[in-house]
Amino acid sequence: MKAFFILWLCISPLCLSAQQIQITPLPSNTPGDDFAPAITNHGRVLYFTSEEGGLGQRLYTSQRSSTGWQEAVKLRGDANDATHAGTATLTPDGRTMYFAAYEHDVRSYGRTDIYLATVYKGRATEIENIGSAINSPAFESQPSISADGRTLYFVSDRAGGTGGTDIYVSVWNGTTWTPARQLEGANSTSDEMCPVVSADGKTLYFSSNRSGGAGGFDLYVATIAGNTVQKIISMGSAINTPADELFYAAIPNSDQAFFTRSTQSGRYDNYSIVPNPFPGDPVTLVEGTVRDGNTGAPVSATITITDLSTGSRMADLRSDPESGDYFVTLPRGRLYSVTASAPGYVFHSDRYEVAPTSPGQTLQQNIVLAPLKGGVDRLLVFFDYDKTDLRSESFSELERVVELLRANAGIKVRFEGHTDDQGSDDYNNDLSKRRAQAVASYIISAGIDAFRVDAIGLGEGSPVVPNSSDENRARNRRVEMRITE
Amino acid sequence: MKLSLLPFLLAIGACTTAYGQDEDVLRPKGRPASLGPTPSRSASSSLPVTIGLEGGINLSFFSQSVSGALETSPIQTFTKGFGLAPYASMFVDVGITPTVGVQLRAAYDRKSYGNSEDAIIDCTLFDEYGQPVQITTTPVNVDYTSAITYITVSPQVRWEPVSRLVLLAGPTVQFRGSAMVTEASQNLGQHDACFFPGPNGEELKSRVVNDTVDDSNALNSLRLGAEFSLAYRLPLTTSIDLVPRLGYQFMFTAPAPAGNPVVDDSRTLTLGQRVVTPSEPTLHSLQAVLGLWVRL
Repeated sequence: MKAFFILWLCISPLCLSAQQIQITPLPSNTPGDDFAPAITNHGRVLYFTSEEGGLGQRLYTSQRSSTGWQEAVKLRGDANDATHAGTATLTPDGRTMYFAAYEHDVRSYGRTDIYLATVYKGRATEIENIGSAINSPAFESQPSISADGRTLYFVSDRAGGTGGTDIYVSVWNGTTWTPARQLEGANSTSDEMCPVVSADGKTLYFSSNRSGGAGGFDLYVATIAGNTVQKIISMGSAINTPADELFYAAIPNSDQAFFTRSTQSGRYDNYSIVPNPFPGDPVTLVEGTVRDGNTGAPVSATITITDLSTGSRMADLRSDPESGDYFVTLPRGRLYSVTASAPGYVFHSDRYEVAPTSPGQTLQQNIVLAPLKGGVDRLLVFFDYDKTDLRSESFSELERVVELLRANAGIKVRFEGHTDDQGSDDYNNDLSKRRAQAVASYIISAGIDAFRVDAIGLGEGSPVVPNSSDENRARNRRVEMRITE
Repeated sequence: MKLSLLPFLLAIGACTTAYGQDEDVLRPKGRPASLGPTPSRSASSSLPVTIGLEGGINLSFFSQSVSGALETSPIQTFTKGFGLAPYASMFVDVGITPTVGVQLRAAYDRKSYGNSEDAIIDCTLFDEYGQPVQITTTPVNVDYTSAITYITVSPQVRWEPVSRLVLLAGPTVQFRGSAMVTEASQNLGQHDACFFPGPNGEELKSRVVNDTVDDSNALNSLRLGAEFSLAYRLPLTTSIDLVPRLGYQFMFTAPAPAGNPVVDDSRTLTLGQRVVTPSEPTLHSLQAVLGLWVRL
């Protein structure tokens, strides 16, 4: 029993000091407050909040290069047009930023509110108050957006809370944010602040000055399960001290995290912590560039993530218009398609199966978009072995085809079925044609005029790779869409 | 003076007081006192400063009543007036918060107003020998234009309740910068047998009177009032806005003190002389201006 107790101690957070955690102040710290580190672009870009020489809190950003973090610069654009602006959180593509501001030039609902901005070329513009579903006349601040951009956690001291400041959550339903509700299980009669949701969407870090801590605000880690949080544990003495510990932000699939701690003078500084003793679940990070198939120029594309098992659209991100870079975070346990689309181009989708036990990985996947005129691309459609019935995972891709044809009323398409080299030529020709026809039938049944849609079978004659392995043969079994007019 | 400035001073005081207890994005109750004052735009010497130049027009409204005058008396023409005149100003604006600031404006503030009315006056008809044979009345058109220039100083509170929409309010002080110049004329119908005798015995169908008043006993040299404006910022660059502004200048002080009773002799022959007493006049203005606001 004693041995078990010792073992339990050593796997608990109380034994974290045994991991030789290195906590290092960031070089960007100033004599004033520096707090709220936030990560985007898969850990390549850091945002934080800093006092601007007595002028109030401002958003700063720093980029990671091969030599380390570059000098932080004040975020340009309109986000900092406030008495205080800070506590930013960004979607993985780095293009959409939520932040808090007190007395921003854009109207507020009262005190500190949460705002939305578009970030491009280091400038935050198109500032909007995100509305009364989240903001109230009370204090709303410290937002944290999930990697799919659909769930926003934040802090408010509005009436009706559990006590002091509480953590609230709102969900994007496709058109609006749902009315914010308290995050069940997270709040106490003390103050809860600084929620940060991990890239896995399941791990939540937050701070609280609840009783039983090391003093001041301590950091806690919890698991999000549906509408509640469970398994709240203190980060322990290696991290929590009598000072305030706030804003724990972990780089996905990395051993590094950042957090904020108060100094002896009572001001705040940001710190790096290696290794990260409380990582979230590993995720699959997909990144690359989107380029024009003819010119190779970067394309400003919408990156849509779809859960293929349910057909539900999970996230809409964007590639960088200047570089074409895109960043996508895929939590474990789902089958995804990642689709790049842009006006004037044939969309392109890739399939990602991220198993529940999948290790963390970063996949480089450059995307080439074919211009619409004469363009061709492989469709992400699925058939059972030797069958022509479309599997349900195909429907979201086919709906995109319908959408494309509706948006471009002047074009006609031809679906071209291909097989691998298994089986006879006649059989493969027939199978590939029937599969292409199945796709065409779906499109026509969705209301597209039949004269705009054609289907042919090309059998095994046009492989994209040699039929030398199961993997290659799978790539050769495909239906392509060609813009014929 | 003190009374009119009080709301303005209270407003500034309220802004400053509220700001001193500001929350920030981390601390909903503001920073502890041990850390010193909350850093903010108001706590720094480098408050955001905007300068501006404006140009536009004044639409002035003049009003005065006269007791004892006939409804058809030419004097009634002078009981009201309105007219357009140029307006130009420059200002300095200091932001206290992103939405609240104070503005000090100095303006070349020209007022011009006038009126035209039909009246009835006595008329003596003469025979071919120049002897009066009949006393009657005749219609006459009376019009006038008055103009005066002020240098106006207006400390204003600026509030931007919605992005780009600006409200301004505060006291205004006008210093008289010119004499009051008035030109009045009376015009008889061309086919009327009546006429005005000219200085050389000629028969005139109209006569003009010019009057210039530059007497501090007859005109108030300093006027107090309040100004309210609605403006909209149209960004031209990141630091320059084009700003149309519509303002109303309500003056508590009259342009001139109440005048002494005067004799209205326009109907002496038919009804006798009448003594009329003018009341204290009012002169307010609506301003439509276009400005360039430059953030330094």
